[in-house]
Amino acid sequence: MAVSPLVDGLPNPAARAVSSPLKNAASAQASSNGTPVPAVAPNATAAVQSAALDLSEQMNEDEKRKYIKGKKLGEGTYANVYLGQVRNDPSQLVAIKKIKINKEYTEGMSPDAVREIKHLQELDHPNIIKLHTVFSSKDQNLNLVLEFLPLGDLEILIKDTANVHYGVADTKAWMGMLTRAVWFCHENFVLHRDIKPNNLLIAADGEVKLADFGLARSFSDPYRPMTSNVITRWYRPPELLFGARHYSAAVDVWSVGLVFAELVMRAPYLAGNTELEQIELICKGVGTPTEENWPGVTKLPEYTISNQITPVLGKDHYNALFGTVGNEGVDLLMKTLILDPRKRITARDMLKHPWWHKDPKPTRKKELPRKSGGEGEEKVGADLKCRPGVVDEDRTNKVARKLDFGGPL
Amino acid sequence: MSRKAVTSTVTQPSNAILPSDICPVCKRVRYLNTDMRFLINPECYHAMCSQCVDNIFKSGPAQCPYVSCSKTLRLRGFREAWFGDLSVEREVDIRKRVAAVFNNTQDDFETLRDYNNYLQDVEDLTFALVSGTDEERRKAEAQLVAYEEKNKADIDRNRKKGREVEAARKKREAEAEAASKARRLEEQREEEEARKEEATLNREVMEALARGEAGTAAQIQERILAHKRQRIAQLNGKHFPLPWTAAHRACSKRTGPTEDEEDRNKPYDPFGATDLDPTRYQVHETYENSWLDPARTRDDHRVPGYSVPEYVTRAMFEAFAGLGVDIDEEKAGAQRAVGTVGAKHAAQANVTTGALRKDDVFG
Repeated sequence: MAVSPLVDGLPNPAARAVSSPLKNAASAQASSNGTPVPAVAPNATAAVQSAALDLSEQMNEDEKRKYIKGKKLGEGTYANVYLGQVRNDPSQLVAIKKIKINKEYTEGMSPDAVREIKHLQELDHPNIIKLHTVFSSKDQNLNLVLEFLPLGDLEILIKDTANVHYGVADTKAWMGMLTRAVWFCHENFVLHRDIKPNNLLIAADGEVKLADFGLARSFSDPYRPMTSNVITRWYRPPELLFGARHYSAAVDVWSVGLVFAELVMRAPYLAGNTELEQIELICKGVGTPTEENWPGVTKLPEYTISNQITPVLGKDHYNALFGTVGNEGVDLLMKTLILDPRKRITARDMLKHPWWHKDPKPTRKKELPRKSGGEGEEKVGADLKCRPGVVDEDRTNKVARKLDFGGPL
Repeated sequence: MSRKAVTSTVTQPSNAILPSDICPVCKRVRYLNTDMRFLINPECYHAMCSQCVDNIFKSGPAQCPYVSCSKTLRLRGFREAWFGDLSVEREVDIRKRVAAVFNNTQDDFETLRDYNNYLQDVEDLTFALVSGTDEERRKAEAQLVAYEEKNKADIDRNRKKGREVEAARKKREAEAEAASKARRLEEQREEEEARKEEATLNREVMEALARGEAGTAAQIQERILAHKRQRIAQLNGKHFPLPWTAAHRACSKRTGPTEDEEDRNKPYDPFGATDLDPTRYQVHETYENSWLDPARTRDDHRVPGYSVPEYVTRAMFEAFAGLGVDIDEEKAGAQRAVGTVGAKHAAQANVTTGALRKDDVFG
């Protein structure tokens, strides 16, 4: 992915709105990727203060100066989010996510921020939130300059049953954008590991964008364990609930399937309050994982199921609940909710499914339903400041378990 | 059998075509007698003009004036021919007569084979009457008469039944005709109404425009249309598309399809016009590597779905990721780009055409 080692550190901030963020972000790492940074003549304004700064600090300063920080959109324990403007073009809005210094990680940056930057800077797709740049402000605070997505997220639309009405064509359009985003991540060897409706933000033109890469990681090498403690519980696939340490992109597909189900039902399909309850719900709502439908499942470290075994539910069950999306849509949903991850459909095969070409045609993005109120801006803040992998407390009364990042990443 | 039996000795008329201008008997021509009609007698099918018929047969039966014909004809037997070809006229007459006698239907037979045999017999007899030799014709005539005598009651009954069936069919046809006429009228009326609706709609739009309502003309139109559709749906208790919308669109001034419409008509591409297949190398299904074997077989990898192909694809990608990138070229492009946005775009294009994927977000 990072094919080009070119560092475009040219002394003309006016000519370019964005620059390579990571390379300028953390002062010590600026040239650690082996690329010699060309010596640049600092521009006039920066020259005054540049005397005491080294090259990386100088570049960071240039980057910071491109944006004007505006009002605060939201504040959380993990980050604050501000509205920002591009200095040279005030009509361009951005969201600046300022990561707070984390008590747990006084030595360096919090892993969420590292992950987010590491993967977002590599991914450029219409359905993935764009990271414009990164800079550090005083006290080594990390600032992520992200695309400003003012229209809230899919969760708002799903929950607002009174004011927002949508049909199969809209669901298909949203699912198409989500599936493309996930496919693009997987094609670039990135596992998102936190797909859920409130991480699907909506741009001003109606485009859905996958955000919050705080739990993302690239595909693991063989024999290198990953943590199974990822993905918000309601969207977590059975292999993670059973404590698997070596898994594949199929984990994201399960989440996509549950988002699909949620879009149709307008309520989370499997909303467990604890992990055990989540397993229980999967057994009831999809089928009990057994040796027959998933050879070897009993050998997984945390395999625990209740005595009552539900056979894998058939098409009639799904037809009754999700029949509105049509025969093909139900077929696609069932394939994303296959218990055995090896048999589960891949994101690429999802896009090849005949459902996309069946009537009705997906709604065009500018005609998609939008949220009714003006709570979008606050929501951007709320979404971005949130720690990844945690269920929003408004939706359940139970406090979600805090994620443990101490284990292997 | 109202029609008189054709006697067995009828010979084929030598000139079987009905004359049109000259009477073969009196040689009068149509030029002088514009109201000339030609009559025939089913005894011998010899045609002559109505005046000849009057002259010769008014005072009682007489011999056919044709030289070779020895038939005795009566005035009552003369009629106008239906067909120009008199041999056809004769055949039709014979068939009518035979059909009137042999008037059984399929229902009168137990099996289809019986019915078919019967039809075959009837056709044989008819053929003998129409184009058989004198001998055959006489025999068939006798057969016909004998059958008629023997089955008089059946024939009458069948005829009555046939008439009833015929009456029912006529009635049915009349009803269908009436229904289709009513439908046509209804359609006309609907069309008229739709036209009127459209006229009022246009007027409303114009009024709204005159009032200076917010929005463009198209928006106002959309709004009024939506409102109207809703009202109609309420009235009918169901939704139906407005019949005039299509016509209405056609009236609006526009030359080609707009970008919007083109977008609408494009087939949906689930991949969003992005192709991520590698272009510079191929990924094979399997790679033999003993280091990878445990990952394929060990339960802690296999069961939760760890995918060796995913790893292999990534390894391949990383191995070839630098292909097609020329750093010097990129740098040169970047140097040239200083100061002008356009040059920068050009430089970027230069870079990305060589790259494997569109990947470096910040390039």
